[in-house]
Amino acid sequence: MKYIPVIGLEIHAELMTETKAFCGCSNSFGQDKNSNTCPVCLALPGALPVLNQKAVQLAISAGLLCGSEITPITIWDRKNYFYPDLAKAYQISQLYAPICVGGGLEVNGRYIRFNRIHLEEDAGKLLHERGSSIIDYNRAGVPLIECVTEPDIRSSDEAVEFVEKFRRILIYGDICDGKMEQGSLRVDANISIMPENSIALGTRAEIKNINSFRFLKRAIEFEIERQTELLSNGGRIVQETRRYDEVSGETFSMRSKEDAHDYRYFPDPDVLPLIISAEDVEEIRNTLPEPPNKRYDRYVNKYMISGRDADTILAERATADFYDAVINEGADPKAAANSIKGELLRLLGEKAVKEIPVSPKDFAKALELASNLKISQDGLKAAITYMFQTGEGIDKALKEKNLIITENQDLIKAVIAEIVAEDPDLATRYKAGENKLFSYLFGQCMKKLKGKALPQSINLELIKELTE
Amino acid sequence: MYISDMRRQLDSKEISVAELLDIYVKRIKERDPQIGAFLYVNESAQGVELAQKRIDSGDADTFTGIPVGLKDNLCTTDMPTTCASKMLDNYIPPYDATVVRKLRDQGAVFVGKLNMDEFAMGASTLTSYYKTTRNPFNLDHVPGGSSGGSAAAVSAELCPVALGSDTGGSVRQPASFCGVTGLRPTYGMVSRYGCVAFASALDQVGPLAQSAVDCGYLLSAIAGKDEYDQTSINSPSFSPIGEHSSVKGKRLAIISELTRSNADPETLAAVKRAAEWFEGAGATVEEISLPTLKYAVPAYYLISSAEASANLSRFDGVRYGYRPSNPQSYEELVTKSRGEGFGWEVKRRIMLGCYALCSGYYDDYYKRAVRLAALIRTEYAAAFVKFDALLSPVSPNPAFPIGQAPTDPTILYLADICTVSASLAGLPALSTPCGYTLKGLPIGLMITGNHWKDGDILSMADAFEREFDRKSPPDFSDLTKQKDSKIHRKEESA
Repeated sequence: MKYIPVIGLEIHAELMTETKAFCGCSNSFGQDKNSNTCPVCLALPGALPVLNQKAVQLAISAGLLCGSEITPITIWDRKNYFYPDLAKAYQISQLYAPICVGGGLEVNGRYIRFNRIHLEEDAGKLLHERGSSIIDYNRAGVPLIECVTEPDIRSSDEAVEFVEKFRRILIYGDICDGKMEQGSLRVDANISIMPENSIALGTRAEIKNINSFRFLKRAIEFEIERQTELLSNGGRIVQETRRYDEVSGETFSMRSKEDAHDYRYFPDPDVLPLIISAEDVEEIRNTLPEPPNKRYDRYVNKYMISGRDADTILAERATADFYDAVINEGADPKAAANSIKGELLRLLGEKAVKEIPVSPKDFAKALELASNLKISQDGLKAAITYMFQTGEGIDKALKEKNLIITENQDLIKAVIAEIVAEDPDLATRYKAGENKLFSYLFGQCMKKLKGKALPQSINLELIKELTE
Repeated sequence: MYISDMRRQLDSKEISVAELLDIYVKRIKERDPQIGAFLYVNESAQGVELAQKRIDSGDADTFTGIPVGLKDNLCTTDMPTTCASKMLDNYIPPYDATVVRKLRDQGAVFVGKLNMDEFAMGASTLTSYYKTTRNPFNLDHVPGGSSGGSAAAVSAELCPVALGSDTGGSVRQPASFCGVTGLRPTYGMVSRYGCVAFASALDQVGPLAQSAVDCGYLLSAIAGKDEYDQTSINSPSFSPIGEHSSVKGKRLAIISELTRSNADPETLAAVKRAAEWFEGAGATVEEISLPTLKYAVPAYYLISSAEASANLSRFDGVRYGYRPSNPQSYEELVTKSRGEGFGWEVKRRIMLGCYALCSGYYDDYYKRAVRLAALIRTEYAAAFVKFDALLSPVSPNPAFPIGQAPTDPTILYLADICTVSASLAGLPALSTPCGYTLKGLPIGLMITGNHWKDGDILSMADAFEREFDRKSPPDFSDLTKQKDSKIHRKEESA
């Protein structure tokens, strides 16, 4: 029998706030253990949470960018369970009235729906060092959104593409830095399979804490294979939570449904229900950047650049913002795309810097000079490199590198005459119909006139000379 | 001594801050061995010199140099904060509760930390891990609870004022048992930050004092919105009591469910006499029926226990608090810490609370209790359209003998019938002494006001107190008069 995989994802994304979700501690990664802590996130007796409004704003932003509805009165619930890294022994989360409901993203023509996006706090980290366990509460209380999809995904590739697309939206919105290797974006995958043509969903297994695209793909594929094999051999899938082992590439059972926690959710009396007005939502909507999927459409449909180029430019928001800024300065979109993906990205790659040290205005000017034939294509590359490396403007680049081509028609004629005179036989053969000799002669002229004449001018003069 | 007297004597240099503190520390040494109100006495209290300097430079605030006692669930950086539990034995918090900080900023001097029921769960102070506190009016009787240490200390004049906390009656009931004035403020009026949580939606820090006026002073000092407590807000209408409190024209009502019950006859008679006094003083007194009050006790115990079950989960032995020796695993660390660190009453409430929140029971218990609380609020709201304040006993009975506490917890819980409904509705309510039993035990009158009418009910209590012949505990009354030439407020105003 043929089975169809049914996949739903839970994506946990840490929010890029200055401070934690419910206290004033810094939300920064990589600090000394337990240095970003206070009575609130250490859950000392008597401490109380105070909701971070910035976290609320970012959660709403994420929802708006994915077309979700924003809940007018959203409430916070306590999710109770004991674990060493969970200081209060309950997590402040949202069960009954999540901040964002619905929405979704299109992936290759299929619309993957979100069930909800809710705001909650992260737990600390348990580190095992030399036979003992250390708890680092720096991450405890870091705000995150849990984004739950409907079981709309049908393959591992689709899952990966969905997460990639969503991750890019979060990065563009300054909502989450998307660093999966640091755990700021983590994915749980709910996977089941059902016979083709069936409408009843199968029993699902949940794979926890996947922290790379590669592992996501492999974990899903392994799980589909495991379940297919099990069902084909007359076995039964049990609802359970599984762990993906990065070394073996397999998933292993952690706990079955029978062992599942009863989280005893109830509304947190310390964090009051939050009323979000339509005006609040509009205010946030007005601050949102254009999401990358919309930009892609604009680049391809309006600027007529290739989808591949659009993807390259959109890979980093800094690059895409630079591209838009250059176009705003009046540059030709295609020329700008070519120079950015050719020259600029090469330079950025070499220096491994995020910020582009060239002003969009100077960049646009360089492109304009090249298109007006005031500098050559090589000259354009030289100008971009110079500006990038020195941080100087276009005027200085032109001057220092002597890039402006000041043509002297007499000189061009003289050089061409010289080349032709060197081997008169060539001209004779060309005139007799040996067309390919033109490029050889042209090349010789270019060599001699490099930087002093435009190829176009040389071309023109050479034809004149040879056809006379 | 009243705050106004101490203020006058301190500002006129009749007495120094150190001398005033010394009077109380000496009394604590003399009398507290019998009463057992203090868990910690702060003999070398911080801030004495600073307070004196402020007074000397004419920069004194209401509480500059005034000794204040604190219930042991209020976090203090200079004294242990144990919640009367083995779990927090010797625990010294790294931060001050907001109410503590506010009083410290005013220059108050903290005389010590006061005994209580463990984690504020109880109505007798008998669930304290450390000691039994005795009622100053009769040492064989309980002081009430959970703020029993605070009430007993104020009653025996071991400190002039104290802070307690009231979840279901924990300020009002011990105030009533010990014959002092105690107020549960409107929910949200006082910050809960640093008051170790029992039931977050119900906990409220409140003052206990010799008079409604002093309760008002203390409330003014601690009230106000706190950026560390989202549920706190600035009271829209509170002002301290003026010179001439009057009840003329006030529309009062006696809650019939609480006065027709099978309560103690002496208690009912005293409350009735008080109601008659209010009528004589120009108020109208009617009866009102609040039928939903019969659901108040079960609703209160479900909600408060549910919240407590989560609030007390942080005591896992990992970061602070009691820890068993050499646990072999995380599970053992948690179960032994909690199993050995918590007393029976605390465990009972945690069990009850977890049960009420379990999937499958949530709708039947927790959710239904929350709906009942909403119903009770609605009923009160309707009552306050017609009336300015409601009168009732604080407890169906006066303080019971220490050895005769009911062993069946449901009987104990039912005694909270008078106090828990105001808690569920978030209303301000106070207890003021209104009589004494033949055996000499105080009886409290409860005045419940509408939201943010804390000042109004304190004024009503003040008017009553000016006329009521309040008694001091018998064992100490002579001693008190001789030693400190205590000026009675009635004489002062005469």
